[in-house]
Amino acid sequence: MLKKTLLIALAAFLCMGAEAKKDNGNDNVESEEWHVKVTLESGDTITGYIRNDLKTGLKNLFSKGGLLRQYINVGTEPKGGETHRYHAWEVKEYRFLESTEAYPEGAVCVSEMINAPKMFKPGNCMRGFVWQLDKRESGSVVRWEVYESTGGRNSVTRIVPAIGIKLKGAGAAYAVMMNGRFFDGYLMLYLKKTHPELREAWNQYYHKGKDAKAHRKELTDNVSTALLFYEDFLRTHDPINDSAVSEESACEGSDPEEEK
Amino acid sequence: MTHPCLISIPLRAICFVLAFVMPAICGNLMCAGKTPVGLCGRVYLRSGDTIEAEGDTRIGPPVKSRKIEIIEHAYTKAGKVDRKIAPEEVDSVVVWPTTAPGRPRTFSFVKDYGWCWELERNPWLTVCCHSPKGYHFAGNGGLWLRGKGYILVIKDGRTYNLGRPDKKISDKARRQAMELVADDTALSAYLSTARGRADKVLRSLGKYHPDKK
Repeated sequence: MLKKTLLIALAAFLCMGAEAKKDNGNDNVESEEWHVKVTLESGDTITGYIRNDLKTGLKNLFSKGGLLRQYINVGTEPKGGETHRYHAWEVKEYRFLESTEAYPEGAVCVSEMINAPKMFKPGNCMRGFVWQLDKRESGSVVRWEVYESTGGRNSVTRIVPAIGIKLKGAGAAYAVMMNGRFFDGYLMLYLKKTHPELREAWNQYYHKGKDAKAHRKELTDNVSTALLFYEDFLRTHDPINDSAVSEESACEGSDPEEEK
Repeated sequence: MTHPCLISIPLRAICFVLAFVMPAICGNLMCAGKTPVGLCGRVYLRSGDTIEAEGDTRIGPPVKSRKIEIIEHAYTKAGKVDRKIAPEEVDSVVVWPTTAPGRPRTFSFVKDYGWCWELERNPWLTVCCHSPKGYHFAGNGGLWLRGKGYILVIKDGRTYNLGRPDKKISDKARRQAMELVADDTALSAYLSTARGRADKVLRSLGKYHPDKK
C-alpha cells in the first residue's frame, strides 16, 4: 500500500517537474500550434488560442455527447488573460492557422450534426466537434471517435476512429468507416428512409455490382472517393434536401434545446 | 490389420499439397486480392522513360525499399499488379491521390534508408523525409508519415540524418545544418536563430546557394 502511494506521489512530482520545465522553455513557437480562427454561428470570427482547461475537459467528459466533444475553450492569449467557453451549437468551425503537411490548408475542426445511434434510435444525431479531413462541392469527410465493443464472452470496449461523410444537403454526417473497416449500415438505413434512389445507387456500387468489393477497397483507401460517387450521382439526380424531409425522419433527437 | 503409417500417408500428402503445392499454383490468384493503394502519378526511370498512370492504371505507394508496383485496371475485379520496378531503375516517383491532383509529392530512393519524400531540392543538396513504415496519402492531398520519420539531407553523395521532423528542432540538428551550409552566410545566420518544427526550419535549406554571401 505504502509502495503504491509512494509511486503515485513520485509520478505526480515528475509531472509537476515536467510542467515546470515546459514553462521555462516556453516560446511563441509552441503556442502557435494552438492558434486558431473561430467562426461563430452568427458569422463573426475570433482569433485566439485553444486552451485546454480542466473544467472544459470535465464538461466534455460528462456531457451527453460521450466521446463527441461539445465544448471548446478559447483564450485571447496563449497563457493567462481572458478565456471563453463555447458550446458546439455556438460555433461553426475553428481553423488552425499553422498549416502542416497532413493539412496543407490548416487543420479544421467543424461543429457538425453526427449520427450517434442509440438503442431503438439508429437515426439519433448529436452535434459536436469533428475533424474535417476533406471538403468538396458534394460534401465533406469528417472524423470522430466512438466506442466499439468486440463482443463475445470476454467483451472488450475500446475507442476507435470513425470516418464519415456529410453529403451535400444532408442533415448529418454518417459513418462509412469504423476502425479502418468499411461500415455503412447506418448510412444505408438513413438513405432507405429518406432517399431510396441514392440508396439503390449506393447499394449497386458498393454491395451488389460486379466491382463492388474493389469499390469498397477504394473507399477504405481514400474516403473522399465516396464524394466522387455522389458527384456522379448528382449529374443525373437532385441533391439530398433534408430540410424538405420532416425533421424526425431525417434525424432523430436533433433538438438544439435538448442538446443544450 | 492396417498399419497406422498407411493411414497417415494420405493425411501427410494432403497437408503437403495444402502447404506447398497449392500456394505455388494459386499464388497469383491469392496475391491478386492484395493490391496496394492506387495513386495517380508518374514514374521517371533512369533509362529516360516515363511511366504514366492514366485511365484505370495506378501506381502503388513507395514503401520501405520495396519495388514500385504498377496496377492495371485498378479498383475493378480484374485489377492486378502488372509490373514491378526495382528501386535502382527509378530516378523519382511523383504521385498524388485521385481526389487531389493539385498536390503531387515526389519520392526518390535513398540508399540504406529506402523511399524518401523530397521536401526541397536544388543542385547542391536535397532535403527529404524518410518514414520507415511508409506514407499515408490523405484524400485532401495531405501526406502523413506512418510512425517516426526522419529528416535526411543529401549533400555531395553523403546522407545526414537530422532527426524527427515533427519535433522542435534540436540544437544538435541546427549545428549540423549550419555546418552543411557554412558557405552561405545568410542561411547560416537564419539557422542560428531559427526556432520551431524541424521540418519547417530545415526546408529553408532549399534556398542554399554556396556562392551567396
